[in-house]
Amino acid sequence: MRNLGLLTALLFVLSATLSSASVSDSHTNAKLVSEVRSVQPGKPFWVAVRLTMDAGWHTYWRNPGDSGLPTKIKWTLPEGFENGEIQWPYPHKFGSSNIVSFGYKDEVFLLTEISPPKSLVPAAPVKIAATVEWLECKDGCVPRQADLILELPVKNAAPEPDSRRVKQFEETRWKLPLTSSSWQISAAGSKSGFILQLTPPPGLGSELAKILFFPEKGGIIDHAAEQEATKTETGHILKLKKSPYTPEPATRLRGVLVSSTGWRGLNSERALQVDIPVIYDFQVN
Amino acid sequence: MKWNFVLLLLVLCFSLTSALNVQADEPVIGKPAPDFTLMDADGIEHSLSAYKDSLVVLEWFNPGCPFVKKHYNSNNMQKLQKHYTEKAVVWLIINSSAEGKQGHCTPGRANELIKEKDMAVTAFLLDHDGKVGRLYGAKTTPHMFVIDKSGVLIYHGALDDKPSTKITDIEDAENYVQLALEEVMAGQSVSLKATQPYGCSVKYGAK
Repeated sequence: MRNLGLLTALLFVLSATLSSASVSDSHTNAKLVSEVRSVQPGKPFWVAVRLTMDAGWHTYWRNPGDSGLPTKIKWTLPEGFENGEIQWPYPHKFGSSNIVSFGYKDEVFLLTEISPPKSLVPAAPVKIAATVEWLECKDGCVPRQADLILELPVKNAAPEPDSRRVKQFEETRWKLPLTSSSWQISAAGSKSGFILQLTPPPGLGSELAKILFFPEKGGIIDHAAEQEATKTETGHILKLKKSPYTPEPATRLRGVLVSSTGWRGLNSERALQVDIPVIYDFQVN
Repeated sequence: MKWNFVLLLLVLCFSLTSALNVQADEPVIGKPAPDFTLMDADGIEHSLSAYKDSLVVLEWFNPGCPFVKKHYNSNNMQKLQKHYTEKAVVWLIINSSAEGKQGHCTPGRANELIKEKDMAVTAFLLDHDGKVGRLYGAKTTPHMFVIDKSGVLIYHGALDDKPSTKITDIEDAENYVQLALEEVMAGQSVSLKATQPYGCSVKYGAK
């Protein structure tokens, strides 16, 4: 009898586990989180869509690479509120030797700035809603969508940071590409691709390791081709192969340069925004 | 005089190496599309060279891929196939999903899919070792190639300008394959010859 009770209990636990697993068959958990605990009229604040992926699964950067789709967020905000663009942390490169993707595994916070109107009066809490669409892939891909809601009280006082989020937002900001630096970066175009010349500011003796360029959109460079980095007397050279899908040679290179050593000395920020003209000189081969 | 000769030699060397580089690579717009022979779902061999004098469309296919499902569940792909095969265009579907990988089609499954999806194609070709896929640098499903009557590649890339898995995006999409076929059939040169393909990665097996 006691054994039967135990068996029933076991079965109950087992079925509960199974049913909770079947509630959502998505391999990515999406949540809308805020850096602050309240909204102050006229004071912009940051929220993030947090995507937590199962082991082996990934989602995509703004340029997904050879396959995949970038994550999209559609905001539904109270009247007078405005939202900024997604601030994309630098991506990772994965895939096989001839097909590569740019994106994230484990967890990513997609930060977006929300600006409430000055005329906002502290009354009922405000509702921030986001419809998030992403493509999750492992061996195969599944498109997903989630409607997320966040409620925040409105207070005239300066917003208090949410202690659960401070570190997460800080770590994410560290992964956002630096928008300016003292590096001199130029691009020369040739028939077969581009040569980036990276010259550090005087005094910054650090040598860059594992340099990678992620183009902002497809059709510019061959995503899967190896990017050959060479140390020169004055800095570094990075060779990029032209995309086979370029109808016209690119006149600008826009994207993100990533180095595991950092752009402001050892262990500094790893990603740097690049938006430079391509200089074509027919002497360069 | 001597220097000129050295220079000429150097230039020759450079052009030779770059020509070799291109050769080892994926097919090039304006150059002959590489020939291949593959078995269809009924065990019949099809060679690209046998379709000289016809316009040929190659469509990389994986039935489990949400991007492919978008174009088949909406009937968008079948409509295109029907429209152009009726105009004597040769439309070849190529399945490069290796055994055990997503979208792998046995000959039986391929024949089922032709019926189920009401495909209007010239042949459904099986490329399970991925040789032809790799030869063409096929990256995604769907990845499209258009070859003219002289066997020259005139378009490669995406099916249309809306990389998404949503059927509702089809209506406003500009279809690049249609654009290329219409232009070449009207005796014009193709205005958009290459675009970044979109979709799921082709599920190749190990080399």
